[in-house]
Amino acid sequence: MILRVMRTALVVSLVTAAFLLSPKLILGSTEKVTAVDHNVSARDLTITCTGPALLAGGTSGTSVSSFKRTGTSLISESYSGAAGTALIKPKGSKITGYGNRQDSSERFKSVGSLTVADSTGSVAQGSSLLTVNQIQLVQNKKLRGLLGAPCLRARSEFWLVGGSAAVGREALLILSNPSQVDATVDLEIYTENGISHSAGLTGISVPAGKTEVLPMAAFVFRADSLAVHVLSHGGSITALIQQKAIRGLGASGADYIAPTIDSSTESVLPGILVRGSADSNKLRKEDDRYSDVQQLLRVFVPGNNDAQVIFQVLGTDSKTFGTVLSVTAPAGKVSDFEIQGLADGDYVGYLKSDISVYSSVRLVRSKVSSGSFTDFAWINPAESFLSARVIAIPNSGISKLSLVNPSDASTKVSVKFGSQIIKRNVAAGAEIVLRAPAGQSVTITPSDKPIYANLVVDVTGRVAVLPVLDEKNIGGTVQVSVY
Amino acid sequence: MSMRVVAVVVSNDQPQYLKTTLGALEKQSFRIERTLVVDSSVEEGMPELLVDFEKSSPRNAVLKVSERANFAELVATGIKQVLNGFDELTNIAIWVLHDDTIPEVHALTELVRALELSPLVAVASPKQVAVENQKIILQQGLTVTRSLKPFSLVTDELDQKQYDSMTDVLAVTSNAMLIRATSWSDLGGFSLDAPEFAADIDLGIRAHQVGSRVVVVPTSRVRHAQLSLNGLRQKKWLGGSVKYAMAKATNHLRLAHSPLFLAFLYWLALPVYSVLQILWLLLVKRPDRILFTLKANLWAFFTIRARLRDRHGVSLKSLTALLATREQVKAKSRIAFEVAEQKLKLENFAAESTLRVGQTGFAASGGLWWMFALAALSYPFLPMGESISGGYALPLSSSWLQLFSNTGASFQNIGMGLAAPSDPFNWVLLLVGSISFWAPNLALSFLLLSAKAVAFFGAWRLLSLVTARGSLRAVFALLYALWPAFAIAQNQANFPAVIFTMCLPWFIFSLARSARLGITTSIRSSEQSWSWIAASGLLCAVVSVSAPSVLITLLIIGLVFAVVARKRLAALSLIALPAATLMLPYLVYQVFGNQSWLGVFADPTISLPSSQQTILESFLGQDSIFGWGSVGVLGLATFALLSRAKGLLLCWGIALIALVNLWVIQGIRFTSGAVGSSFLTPTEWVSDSSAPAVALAALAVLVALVIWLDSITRSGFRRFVTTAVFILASLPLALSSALSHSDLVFTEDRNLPAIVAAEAKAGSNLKLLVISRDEDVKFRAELIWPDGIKLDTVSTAYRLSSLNAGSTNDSQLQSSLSNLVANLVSANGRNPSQELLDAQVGFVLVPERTGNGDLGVALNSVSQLDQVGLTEFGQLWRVKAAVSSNQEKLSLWSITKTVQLVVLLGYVLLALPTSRGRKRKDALAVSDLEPDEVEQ
Repeated sequence: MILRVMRTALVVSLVTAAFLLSPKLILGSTEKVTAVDHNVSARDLTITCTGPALLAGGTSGTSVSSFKRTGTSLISESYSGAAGTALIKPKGSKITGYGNRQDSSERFKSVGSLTVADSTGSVAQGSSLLTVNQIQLVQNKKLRGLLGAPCLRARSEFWLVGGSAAVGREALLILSNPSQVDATVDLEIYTENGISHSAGLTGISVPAGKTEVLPMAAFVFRADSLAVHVLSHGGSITALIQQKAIRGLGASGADYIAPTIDSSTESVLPGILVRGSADSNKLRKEDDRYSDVQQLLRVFVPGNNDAQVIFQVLGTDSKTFGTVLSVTAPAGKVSDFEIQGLADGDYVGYLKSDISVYSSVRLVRSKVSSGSFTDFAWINPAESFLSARVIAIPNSGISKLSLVNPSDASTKVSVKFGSQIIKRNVAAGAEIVLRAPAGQSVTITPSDKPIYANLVVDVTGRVAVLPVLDEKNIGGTVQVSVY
Repeated sequence: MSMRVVAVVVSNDQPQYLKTTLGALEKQSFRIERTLVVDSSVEEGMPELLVDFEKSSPRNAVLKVSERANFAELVATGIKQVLNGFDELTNIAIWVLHDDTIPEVHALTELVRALELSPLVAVASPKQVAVENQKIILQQGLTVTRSLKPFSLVTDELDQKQYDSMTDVLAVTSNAMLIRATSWSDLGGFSLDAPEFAADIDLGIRAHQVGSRVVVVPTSRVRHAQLSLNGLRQKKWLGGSVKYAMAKATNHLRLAHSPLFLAFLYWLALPVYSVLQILWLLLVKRPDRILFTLKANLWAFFTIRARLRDRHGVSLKSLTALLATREQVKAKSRIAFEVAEQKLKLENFAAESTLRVGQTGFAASGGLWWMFALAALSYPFLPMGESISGGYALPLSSSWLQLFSNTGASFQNIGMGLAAPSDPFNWVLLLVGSISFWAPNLALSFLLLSAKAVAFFGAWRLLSLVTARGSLRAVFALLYALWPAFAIAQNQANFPAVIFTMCLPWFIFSLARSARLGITTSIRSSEQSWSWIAASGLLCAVVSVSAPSVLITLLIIGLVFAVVARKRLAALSLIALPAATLMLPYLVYQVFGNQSWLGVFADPTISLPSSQQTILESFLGQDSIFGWGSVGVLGLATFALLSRAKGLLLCWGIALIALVNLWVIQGIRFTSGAVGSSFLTPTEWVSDSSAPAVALAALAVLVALVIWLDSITRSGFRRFVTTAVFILASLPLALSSALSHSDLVFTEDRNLPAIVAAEAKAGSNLKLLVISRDEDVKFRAELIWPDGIKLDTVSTAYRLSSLNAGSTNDSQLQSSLSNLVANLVSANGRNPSQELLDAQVGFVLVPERTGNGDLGVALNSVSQLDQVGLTEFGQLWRVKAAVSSNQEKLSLWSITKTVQLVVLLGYVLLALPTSRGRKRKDALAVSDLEPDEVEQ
């Protein structure tokens, strides 16, 4: 009997240990599939600017399917001038590179592309070769506000998280096809009610060299919250949403919603520079038409599982207190969460989620005294980068560069304004905000930790936020595994 | 004129017997004129005996000859010597004796009388009786069947004087034969070319040819020890076993005594005849006879000249009356069958474990209803399309011939092409596909539907070895069929894991049957025993090739089995042969070709992303609530160890080994990639399925539980535990299984765009290049052959080869393709025509996946490609300048495949239940394909 009890005890111990204590160890591996590096020349880099803002209704203002451009957009560009390359402008003019960076501005009356022709086929692409953005301050009764967006490399897929098609709001999806191949575009539009199954979402033709404008209300009438997935077949395209707000009879606020990065469980949103918060609060309290003049977090959860989201807003100094949102975002839907209680100051947003989500933040600015206005800007999560990136600073208004180090150790970052280089320490998890000189380019070079950055442009109080992108075609070292 | 007799005793190393023989000769009532001992002994004790013998009388003599001489030579030499000095041979008779013979006092007298009574009698032979029991007739006259097989007219029969009227026979044994010296001289003695058993018959036939008679004299009796026949001699007179000697004798008689034309045809047909004989022997479950039959046939085929030398133009037509009749043959077979059955019964009786217990049958105990319920639970797998897809599922080749071609192949028509053996699992796929050979995918789909039911049936049969209680068998077999890991494998269409889990209880059951283990046995004949051994061999192959991840545990089970069944180890070791034959080329390639010994344990599946699992996760399965039912059962089974019942520790030992196996195998990361992975989420590594190890552990634990519960004498407690297990484990697991989600869908058996499949069907040899983007500047490409991505083209050897694993560009084609892909994805305007042409690429496909959109845009800018459009598999481009060459089809046959197929077919034949063993005994007949069925 004793023997039987002992053997039982032994087996119980072994089984319990096996079930509860056996660790996940890697005891061995067979050979791993490793890609082979190839050095290939990339296609010439072409950046397309969507051009001036669009007014729905055409010249008469009543045509349903007509849109007309209003004013001109200010294009800010920074070209490295690398030897062996030349910058070709929309009208065909050419700037030959001789090794000197050239920062310039010009105005576009319509959509236009800038191409760096590389005769050597070996020049590294990215923002260091060419970076372009556009802003436009519009002040007419149909459209008021500062619209800013990066000029984009044409691609086949975009996610645009932001905008509204509610009453008094207008979201226009602008699809431009700068390529020489006709594109067919499919849209997936998600709202607070889930995915839209409206007719006409697929097979939208965007002929080569043309621009198509699609009012979102045609697909998702009265939808408050939008997230749009754009998929192109055939030619590559650029996509932006032009969002405007009408309060009563007048326009009040506008911006472009630029493509966001891929979904993620952790996102960093620099450049939440809150100004005029008291005025915004006042407007919101006094007038229902301004009920949305509030900082807002938008989250879209792809898939079938709800996301537990924690959004932490941190100030850059001791005087600015942030806030924290801990919310559940339903699966397959677009959810908006108001960020309340933010006083004037510079903030950065950290988003953490248990599953990958798309997100963005709406930043609002208002003024109620003389020259009163309300404007907003949509801020996308920033891309992290470890190598140098360049952004062109518009020669109009005040531009502030917001740099964030989300890591748990401080890092140094080198910022080059024109020919002046400054080095700044960015504390762990902190944000620094630097004023950028108008009309020049800024080169940001991290040292040992990834940096996240956005550029906040303020023109007479109106605001737009430009991401620091690194547009490049596939080239250089490409890893391929073939089997 | 009275006869004078000389005796020749052929001696070899049997001093005791020889002494008795010589003593008996001395005592003969008929005087022997000369006695010559022809000795070929090497033993030291012999000279002394022979010297004494020689000195005892001037009539005695000894002739020492070379030990290498055969029996015919010894006799010929002896007779020549003993007749030396006789001027006249007319009245002389020669008595030829073996040294293990004891003639009765009047034996010679009776024989001589027979010769004296009839001058036509040339040869007379006594009744041969057993040494220890003179009532047993060992032999009394020889003949042949109509197909010229040697046939002993009487063998091992009780002497009731029933054969005492027998006189004329075709031939007699050489032992104690009395032959006239003139006849010996005329006939030329025994043929030196004939094998031992044929020499006697040949002499008899020749005697008849010259008009003489060959008779047996029942009143003359000699006791014969039959040392050669019983294998008790050191010298192998027969040149091998008795059966081998019989087979040789048959072949000799057929070639020497058939009409020349028939003999020639027989010789020509010997190779084919050998194959037929082997097939027949397998079918009648006599594999033990294959080797010597084959050997005897080869001997006859290559010594044809010697056989022909023995032809004397004798026609057996005139001797028909002396040949064995059909009735005699049948009677002999019946006796042989009865003896074998009695022997087996005695063996079974001797074995304590094979206690026969009355049991309720499967159908009678409601097993069929349970099977039906389990099949109903698997209703999502009811085939609603040509083939199943999703998870691990891929379609099989749509033609059976293609499936056969991909099985056991030595070259893999995938990717860059690789000279490596196919996955041994392909044999299982071929077997499944052959069930519905007109549409192989149909059987594969039905397999998923019936998996739980078949597993239940197998577990029920296995448990019937340890309990006779129907409720225990049903509840615990149900538990096995509903085990969570099995449900996951079924939901993911992980065919190797599903097949392993289905077949495992059947394998253990057949293993126990072949070793006659368990509380019951159904083995009633050696034929059935062989059937179980063959079935075990085939099932062993199925489980081994389906789950290489548990090879070590299976090996340990094999060792335990070998210890338990050590008495029948030689026959039972054949169980491993099919598995070894199928796996050996593959294992050798993995270890030496791929230099990846860990690769031996890789699952034969596609690289579906999978992650490492803990033991707990493996047992819980996909349902973390109901899955605890299985863990609870495991906990309950530990209490079984408190019981005294036998076998519990062994079961738990196997379960623990399986758990260790599970933990170790989950700690190994296997190379991903290769066939079909372009359409899967990219992953660096994949893990083996946990289902096989879990199934092993679960089965061992369930058997332990049943042994324990069966041993409980308090029926109330037993019923309580059984009911509790049913309610708390079986029902929740059934519910979990019913509610579980499966991503599998039934579709067409095509997993390439229709245009690509159509071109391939039309004979195009153009391949499809699938390009996919893993990360920012990281791409992968798969070259798909015109046959498409099929389950039977999945090659683990290729997956672990340097063509997939590692970064080495082992082939020029791979290097060229890699460069081509890099240029295509960068859309830098470089002309890719030459590389596309070299690789025979006709189409380029970019699967629909996040991150792949820009690839499509890039390919649109390549002027050498024409966009076909969006297909269900992604965007497709046609290569403008593609030229199709003749399609190179994989050869249907290879040496490896032939060997593997022969072994498998042999085992299938052996495993097939035949009615022979259950035939009415009086209906038994001997087939011509059984050369040694009737022994001399």
